[in-house]
Amino acid sequence: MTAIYIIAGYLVLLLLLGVYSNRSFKGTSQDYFLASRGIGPFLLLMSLFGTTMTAFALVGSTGASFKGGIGIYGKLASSSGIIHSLCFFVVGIKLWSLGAKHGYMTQIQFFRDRFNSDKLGLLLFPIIVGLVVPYLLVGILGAGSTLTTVSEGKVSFAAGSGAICVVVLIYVFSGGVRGTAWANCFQTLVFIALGIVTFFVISTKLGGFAAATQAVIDNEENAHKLARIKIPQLVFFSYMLIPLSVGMFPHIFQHWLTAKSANSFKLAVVAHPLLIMLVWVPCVLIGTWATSAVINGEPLIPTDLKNANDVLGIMVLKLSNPVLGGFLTAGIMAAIMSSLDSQFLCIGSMFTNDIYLHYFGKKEISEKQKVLTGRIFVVAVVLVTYLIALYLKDTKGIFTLGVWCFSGFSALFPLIVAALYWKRVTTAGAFASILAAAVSWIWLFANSNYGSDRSYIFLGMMPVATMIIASTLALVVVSLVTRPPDESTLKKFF
Amino acid sequence: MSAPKSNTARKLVWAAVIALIVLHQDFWFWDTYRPLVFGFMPIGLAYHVALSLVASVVWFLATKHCFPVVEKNDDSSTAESDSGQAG
Repeated sequence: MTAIYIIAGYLVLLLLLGVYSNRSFKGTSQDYFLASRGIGPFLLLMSLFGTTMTAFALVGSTGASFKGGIGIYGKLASSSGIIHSLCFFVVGIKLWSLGAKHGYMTQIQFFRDRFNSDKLGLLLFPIIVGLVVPYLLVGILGAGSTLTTVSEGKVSFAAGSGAICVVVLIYVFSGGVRGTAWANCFQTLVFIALGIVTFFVISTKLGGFAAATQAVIDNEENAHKLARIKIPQLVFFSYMLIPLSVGMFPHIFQHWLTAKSANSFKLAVVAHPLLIMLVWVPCVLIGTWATSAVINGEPLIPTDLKNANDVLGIMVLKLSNPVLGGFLTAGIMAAIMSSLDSQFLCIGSMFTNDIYLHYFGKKEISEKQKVLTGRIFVVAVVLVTYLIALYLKDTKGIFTLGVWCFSGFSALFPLIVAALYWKRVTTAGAFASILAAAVSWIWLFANSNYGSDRSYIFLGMMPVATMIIASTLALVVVSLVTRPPDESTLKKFF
Repeated sequence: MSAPKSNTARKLVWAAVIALIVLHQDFWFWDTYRPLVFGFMPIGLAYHVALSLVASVVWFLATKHCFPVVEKNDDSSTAESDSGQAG
């Protein structure tokens, strides 16, 4: 129960932080959803990093490395270090600038305005929400099942996931995006620090770095995991397209808009690859070492292990003590919550600004009412996703949806780039691109047996490659055969 | 807000970004773990760790030489990009 006490203490700390952040709240919708565009470099870095890193960065990376070896770092981590910063630099700063100039709070507002089409917003809204919700569910399901495992069943799934949802809800409800940024900062520091401490404790118990690697080399069955022999090269290369999703994540868009100035982006652009490295390298090495770690003549990881995501927990339990185990679980919760909070808030913001205020807010609405509406939607989103998580808690396939959600957002990436940099893109081209992305996504998803086939590839590559080609072709061809946008639109955006 | 220093510097930095993306698609060090860097890190992993470090340096140079010029309006929180190019 030591772990549960530590996690409970951690959650109380977060609640206090949330309540404290409410002291800075100015009472306006701009402040609630965008922190009055006043977030500086360090908080922006922590918000963006904490939001893009989920529990997968800790437990998933260790598990993937245990199963497939060190190749997972190149597939997901070094590629993200390059591509995420590219998205911040090329898309984020430009969107921040346009958002500040034209007063946008959501992606849909930008696209509606850029393509002068209300219907485009109506088409994009369900697609974006539909892609974020499974991503949210993965977080809630991960939190609930981790707490149940750590407490050896004493904390039920409903209670564990409910507690996480309530804590996140309280600090998002009271502090809005500022509360989220503060909490993300705290949580990101927690999970980076705990990852590093865990790495040193485990490697010491394994006899040091060199001895731990030598054990893998000596193990014929697993030595290949120190290289990438079993990874198809085209699959590895096409993985690099998945981090483009960051350019279209609505919750990242919202964090971009909170920046105090364009200069605030600089630290995030430069430090993001380093932070990814700090979190991922220890986990990838622990996962590979775990394949061959032996204690008292017995394999450390049971040969009948069912879920590779349990590897990090088992290593900590067997090689350290309950206190570090408790702190590591708190770190895993931190990684989960630092993504959940931004996602809850952005969906609440989208319902408030893109649906309620856009279609039903014709009359004068006070700032107080706007904030109240936003808060009501945040509560509703948390409640609905929590109930869906309870319903789906035994559905194993849900965890595989993560990569499909990312691929869907990546397929929309050509649209945001064209909207920002290509004067010739037309409204019809934008519709065609979205539809091509949606149709190719649905077709490929169905072909993968609705995500059940985890190793599904198409034309030798990850399905995301086909989706991006389809959406780009549709965007370019249809734009070129339709009438160019009018001068007033171009003048507004270029 | 720093303005781009020269077109040459901008071009070099963007060439470095493209080089990063190309270098990420390594087919070398594919089926070997030797040499072990620092005696424990397989070369394939060490290469990508180095790529993460280099990425950070390249992005630092991008913020120095390719950062978009953003003009501040009267409202200090409102800004405008000058050229439609973020880099």
